[in-house]
Amino acid sequence: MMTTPMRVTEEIAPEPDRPLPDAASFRDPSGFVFRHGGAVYRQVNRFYEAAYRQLMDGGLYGALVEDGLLVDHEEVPFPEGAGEAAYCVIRPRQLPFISYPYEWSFSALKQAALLTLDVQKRALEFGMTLKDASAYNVQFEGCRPVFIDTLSFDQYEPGEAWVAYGQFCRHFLAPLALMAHRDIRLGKLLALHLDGVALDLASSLLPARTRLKPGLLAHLHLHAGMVRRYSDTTDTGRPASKKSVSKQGLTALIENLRSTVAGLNWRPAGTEWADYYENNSYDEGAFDEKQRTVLGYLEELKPGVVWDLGANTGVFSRLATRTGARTYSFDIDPACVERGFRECSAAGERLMLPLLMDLTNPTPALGWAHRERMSLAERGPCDVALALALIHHLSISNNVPLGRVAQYLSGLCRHLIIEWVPKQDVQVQRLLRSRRDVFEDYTQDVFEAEFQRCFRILDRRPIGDMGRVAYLLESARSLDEAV
Amino acid sequence: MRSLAYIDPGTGAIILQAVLAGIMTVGIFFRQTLPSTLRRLFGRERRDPVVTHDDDPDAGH
Repeated sequence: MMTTPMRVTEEIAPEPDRPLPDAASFRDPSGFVFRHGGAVYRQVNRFYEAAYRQLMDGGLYGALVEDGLLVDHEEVPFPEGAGEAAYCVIRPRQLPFISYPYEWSFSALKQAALLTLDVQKRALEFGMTLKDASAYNVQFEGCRPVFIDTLSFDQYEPGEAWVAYGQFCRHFLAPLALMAHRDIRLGKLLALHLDGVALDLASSLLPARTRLKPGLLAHLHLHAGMVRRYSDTTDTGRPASKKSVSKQGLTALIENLRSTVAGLNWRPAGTEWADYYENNSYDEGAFDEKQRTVLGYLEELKPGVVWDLGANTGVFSRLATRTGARTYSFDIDPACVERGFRECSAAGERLMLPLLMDLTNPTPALGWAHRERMSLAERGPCDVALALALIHHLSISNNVPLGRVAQYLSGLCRHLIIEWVPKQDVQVQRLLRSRRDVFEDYTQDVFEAEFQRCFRILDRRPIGDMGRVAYLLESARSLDEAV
Repeated sequence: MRSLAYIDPGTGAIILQAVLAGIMTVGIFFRQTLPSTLRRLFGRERRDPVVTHDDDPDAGH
């Protein structure tokens, strides 16, 4: 999988110039991902040669790429030092940012699930099958999902069951069913269970009424029971025959799984921030002024990648896409992220992706040796971060001193566009309504002094006449010091 | 051809697939294959031969 940055692999004692697997790329003997000169490559091993040739020469690769389902690649010359195991090296179309299933909105995870099943359906038509169905095989380009693991395809043998069926249900069906039928926040279970939510856990958390739905009954509840029944580790008898499913039956199973996933829905409503722009503290003039100021800064900086922190449904992220920047729009509220994703998806947005992120507890590094899945900071620094109407949520709701906010943000970005929100602002007063004001240091002077320890102030402009101020800052930290 | 599978498919998941795929194949048989076979064997000739199984109101009933 395309993940982890070069500095991680450098810690392994290197043989000179030999491509070293990315820290997240070790499970599948078919090949591995490595980075060279800032680009991501994939070594295809001889082990995978026959399947790779069938993928490329049998028409499946062409069909999937033409439909936009699979990331395209070019074969490139071997790097020096490629070992005996290497068959060829491919350079896939490069993605500017890796996001993870536990950061996706409900609809994003659902689209990734449907994509995986569509890829499997096409594969069967061409005599191949997916040998894994991990959610980490999917990435988003803008709001469009694309399958990135070119080495996931195996030759299909008539009669064989789908080896990745259990993995698909754990990675996609279980979290989607929990989000749709129990609570949207259960999507975060994927961060605890990197190989997907155990089906017995999902089955016990789901309401009993989900047993009345044939798809969920079969693929989730009965599936959980079967896993439990056959998980006896003392049983050393013969494994179940894999030659037990007709191709027609397998295709019907995939179709049924697809309609089960398609039937899962979640409607974002009644959450805190989804209606923010309909009843916020701005008058329209000040809001226009804020948009003009931010757009002006962005046009000046011409960033390639923008992170909009605390983006709500992404009004300012859309401004960033107008300057051509690939924009990742982070928010803590699943309803905002869902609405943002649906709007982008409907508009065929190719530059913007809304993602779920609690900035008071940002995505940590996860997986084997903390190296498989990157923390938010490890995926940076971005060219420009936006932190608009955010500072009071970090410093007052979450009691983080302004200096620490400055320190963290300076590791995430090269430039920061941040809005100062004074204590007398109606939004801050709302936060202080039910609690004691212990924030003596929450002043514009302290804000400027603390941020100047980590940033250079390039510009400041008042927004409206209520004391809000927009700042354009440049991070003083060198890239090597990224958090 | 040897399989390139590297994850454990799970015995329970394989058996379940065999059962579900069997049920679904039987379902397809009763919904699609059987009615069209019966029609071919015993049915009167239709005036309009382009009716497909899916929009045939008799299919599966």
